[in-house]
Amino acid sequence: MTQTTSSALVPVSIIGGYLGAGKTTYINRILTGDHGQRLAVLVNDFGAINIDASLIASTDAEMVTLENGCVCCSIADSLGDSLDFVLDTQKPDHIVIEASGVADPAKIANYGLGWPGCRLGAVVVLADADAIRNQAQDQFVGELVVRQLRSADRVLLSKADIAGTAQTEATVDWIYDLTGLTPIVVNNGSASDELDNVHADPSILSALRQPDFENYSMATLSINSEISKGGQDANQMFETFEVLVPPAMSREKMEATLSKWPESVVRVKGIVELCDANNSERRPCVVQRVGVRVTTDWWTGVERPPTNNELSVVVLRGQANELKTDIDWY
Amino acid sequence: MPTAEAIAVRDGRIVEVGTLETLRPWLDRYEHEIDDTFADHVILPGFIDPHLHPSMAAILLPMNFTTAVDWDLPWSKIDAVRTPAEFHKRLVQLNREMESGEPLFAWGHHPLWHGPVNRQALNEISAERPIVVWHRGYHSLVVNDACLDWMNLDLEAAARHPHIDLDRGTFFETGLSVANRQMRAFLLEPARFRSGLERMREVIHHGGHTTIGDAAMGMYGFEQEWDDLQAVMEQPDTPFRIQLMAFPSGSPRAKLTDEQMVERILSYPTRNTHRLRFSDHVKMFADGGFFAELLMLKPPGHLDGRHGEWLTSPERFEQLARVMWNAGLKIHVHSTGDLGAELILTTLEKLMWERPRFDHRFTFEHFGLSTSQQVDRMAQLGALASVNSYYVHEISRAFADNVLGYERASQMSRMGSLERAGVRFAIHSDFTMSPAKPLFNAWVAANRRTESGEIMAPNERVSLDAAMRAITANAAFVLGLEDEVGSLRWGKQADFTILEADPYEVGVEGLRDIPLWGTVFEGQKFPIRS
Repeated sequence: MTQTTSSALVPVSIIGGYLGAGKTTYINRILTGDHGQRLAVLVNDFGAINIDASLIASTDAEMVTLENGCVCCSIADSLGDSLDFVLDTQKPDHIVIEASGVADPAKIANYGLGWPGCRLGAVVVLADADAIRNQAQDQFVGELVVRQLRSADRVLLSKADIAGTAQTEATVDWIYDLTGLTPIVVNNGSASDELDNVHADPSILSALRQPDFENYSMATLSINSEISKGGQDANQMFETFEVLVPPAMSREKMEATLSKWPESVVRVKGIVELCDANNSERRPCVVQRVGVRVTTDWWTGVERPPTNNELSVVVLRGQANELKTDIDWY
Repeated sequence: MPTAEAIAVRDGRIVEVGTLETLRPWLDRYEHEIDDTFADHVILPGFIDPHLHPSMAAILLPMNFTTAVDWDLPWSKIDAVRTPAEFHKRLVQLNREMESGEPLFAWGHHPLWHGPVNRQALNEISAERPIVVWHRGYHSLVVNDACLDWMNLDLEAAARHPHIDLDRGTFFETGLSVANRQMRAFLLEPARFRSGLERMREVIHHGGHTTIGDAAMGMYGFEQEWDDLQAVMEQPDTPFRIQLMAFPSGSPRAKLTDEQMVERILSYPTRNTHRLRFSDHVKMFADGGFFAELLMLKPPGHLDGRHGEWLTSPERFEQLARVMWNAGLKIHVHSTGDLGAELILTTLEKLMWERPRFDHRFTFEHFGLSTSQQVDRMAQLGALASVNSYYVHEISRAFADNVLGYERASQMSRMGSLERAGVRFAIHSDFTMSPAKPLFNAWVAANRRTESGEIMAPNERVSLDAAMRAITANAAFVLGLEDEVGSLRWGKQADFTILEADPYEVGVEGLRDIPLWGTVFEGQKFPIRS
């Protein structure tokens, strides 16, 4: 029996998305990127990873070691074994797991939350700008594709060059309506385009560096219905309630109020109408609290979203009543 | 069904079946001995279970069974425990009977009957002995303090894990892999594993089987499993043979192309021994486990809105099936929900259009939930089914209340439709999902009676003939062994299951209660020791 002892927990990030979304290309890109991080990337199909030979320091049947200190390993018999292996032998700064095309990234993210020696990094989900909306309608995988997108902390939209501008813009709106997240558009064209895009959008890699991402992801997970799938057991951990927002609430007040809520609140999310800065107009606003970080973003969609002015709150079980009676909006 | 009075056997094979009168031409020519041991018994073709998992069972069988249904295992009859009080009492008793220090593994906890069990409750049973209580469907477990110590768990990490509840001592979903990691060395320890396989050998004989199918050989490592199976099962006193099914995902480390995988699968028969044999049957997987409630469903979906799981992505499924199909392999697919069945049918329709095959033996395994329209398409396509009938008995009521609603739950494992549509089907146990008792599972198919006595979807009951064929001739057909076993005729293996009463006199209601004398395997008698 083994025991991992580690003072500093290693962040584990998940790369998810349906088949053909560009996960492998993205992984190639972060493996070889100039980010100064020692990454250990665990992939399903080792053969698909195709790294420029000049960047490779050594390679064997199960692992490629790059000149920049990153490694790429196949997820052999079990994910847990692979995590143990890289933790013990590689001392990585960050571990990245490629979720299979039919996996729910939220489920894999539980390894980040609880595997000995690990903490959760980010859940990044890729989507094919050209195909994702059709995939979401598919008889066999539609519901799964939507669930994957909803489990993301960040959505990356690939193949925009193939989809064209109009299609890409429509897909961006569609993903926003579905998840409340604005996807980051990346091109999967030639190799040089890809690298340019990484540098052009540092947030992609910073997502994998940001220390407070663990809170972010934790929260996303807990609101995801998937976590309650464990039946009674998982439901024991969290409870969810809705809270009505008063009509004359301003965006600033909302931020201030949510910031004061205790740490037992793991997630707040909703689209509610808030007053803007000069109190002249009520506008829809996407309100979220992830971990202890509060964000409010004015709704930018064309159509006004339906809203009953309620926020969903996920809180550790047993804490809801106390919180509900203590809410002070002003 | 035709009947006979005498069977002539030579060198383990049937020479002729008939009466002493009709056998005369043989008896006049050859020296012989007339054995009337079974004069007062009923000889049936040896029972065949085309789908169970010896290696999975080997891990479980050394554990103590504490389920809500009775188990008649060769080494003990285990009474059901149906209430929280009975469950507690059983654990106390097991704890008292065991040597000190030895960990106690109990398999079969189900909250519907046993209520919740937590760490504190197990601590009261023993503060010193590690105790592990495993869920009936394998998807969670509960341990006591002594077990947490024994597991040498990183408690800080466990406390953070969303699928481990340390206060209650429960591990579920991805938390289970943390528990498995700490206990694997113990559970897979070679001596323990082989003793589990020894027990499996007894279980198979005890059920009256003379042939079984291992429906995915190599799940814990191909070569190790092969060695263990050889060591335990390939013995002169093993009264059955095992037909092994390869599965094309094989060893993930090997990283073969699909074509290389086919080549490898086709090479497996070169290692065949007398009792352990590969042929050209392969196993694939569509949607998730039935007891684990991970079936993929068409609308209206799960009762509580939860989701199922694809074990193979639909695109990959089609791609892999095409390679196997075009290589002429016989494909068996694990299928639990009606959306899973839809994917399988859609794929089979495409393959038939692209490259028609006759007698392809494409088989739906388990066949949990389906529609009668899907059954019609199976008939059109020449598909077969290997059905877990026992689902109806143990979990149709619980699925009606908690997973599917009544209409769909009552129609799970719809074998009546299969019989009417002329789809050939076998019955399997998938042991330990169901007891390895062909007569019991045939009884479920013919009666559809739940463990509380309710009859579910009476239209889906099958005739006695169909039920008996499903554990003999049609089970042989599903495994591609119909020329060798499955019925009593000249040239086949002399494999018999010996009953104390005739199913056709007893009738469908009493099928499960017919005692077995034992079996004959390749002409040699193997009584069941009671």
